[in-house]
Amino acid sequence: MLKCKEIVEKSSDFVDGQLTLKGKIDFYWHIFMCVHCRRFLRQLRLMLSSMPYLDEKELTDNEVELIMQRVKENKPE
Amino acid sequence: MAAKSSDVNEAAVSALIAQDEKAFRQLVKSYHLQLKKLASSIVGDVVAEEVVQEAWLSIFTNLPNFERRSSLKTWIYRITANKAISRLRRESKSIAFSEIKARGSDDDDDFDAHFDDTGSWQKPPWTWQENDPAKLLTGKELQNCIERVLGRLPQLQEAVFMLNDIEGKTAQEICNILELSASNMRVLLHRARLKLFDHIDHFQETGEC
Repeated sequence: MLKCKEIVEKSSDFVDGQLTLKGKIDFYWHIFMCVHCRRFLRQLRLMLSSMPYLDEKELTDNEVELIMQRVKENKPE
Repeated sequence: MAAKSSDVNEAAVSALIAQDEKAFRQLVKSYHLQLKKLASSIVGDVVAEEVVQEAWLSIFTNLPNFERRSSLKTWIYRITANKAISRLRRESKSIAFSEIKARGSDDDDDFDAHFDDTGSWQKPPWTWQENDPAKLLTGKELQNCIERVLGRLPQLQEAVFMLNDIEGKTAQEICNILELSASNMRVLLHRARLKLFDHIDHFQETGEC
């Protein structure tokens, strides 16, 4: 059976669907038996699903204006 | 996984190809900070702003030649990454980019400390208080913590994580943008995820970053 450390090592490949069928069966078998690895996997997925909710920052209109000025000044004729 | 922001819509792409200034302003407003993060992860904070300024000039100038072979967003990321890589090469002439890239995967694996000699958990993950992805990051402190952790990741780990897990780019697009092999990209992504997980777990346990 896979060790907990190996589950963590393979966790990105698991969540991204990169494991072989045999790899998936071994992974699921361990997860079925191990409460800590189940929690790790559940929270890893939670972390990844939450990333699109990071605040999306935008420039202010003044900052955009400065960039536009530089582009206009330096663009080839 | 859902991408953080959708790509530029078709009407806007057509306007940009025609070098419509209003559409370009909106492009700058929406993507400048993301491009700066990408440049910063390749060339460092100090010159990232300058690199992105150069990239905007190049993007504006070359928009009429944009052939829609990739999405516009991938195209502007690629131009910015190229500018950053060129800058890095200029500033460290004696160092090959392949060597710089390798540094991103050459750091110690801190997550090993969670396991004993048999490979079992000796410090299992804390039970997080939140189960809803939309609510996990509602606290400003955790958002700030994540931004700090991402900013401290080794070169390219941040870029790979940002492009894959925040921007929702495909592995092929990321390898293309950052000149990485698929296997190297997977290693960088996994290490970045574990570091971030470790910090969020610590935050959930202690309330500190």
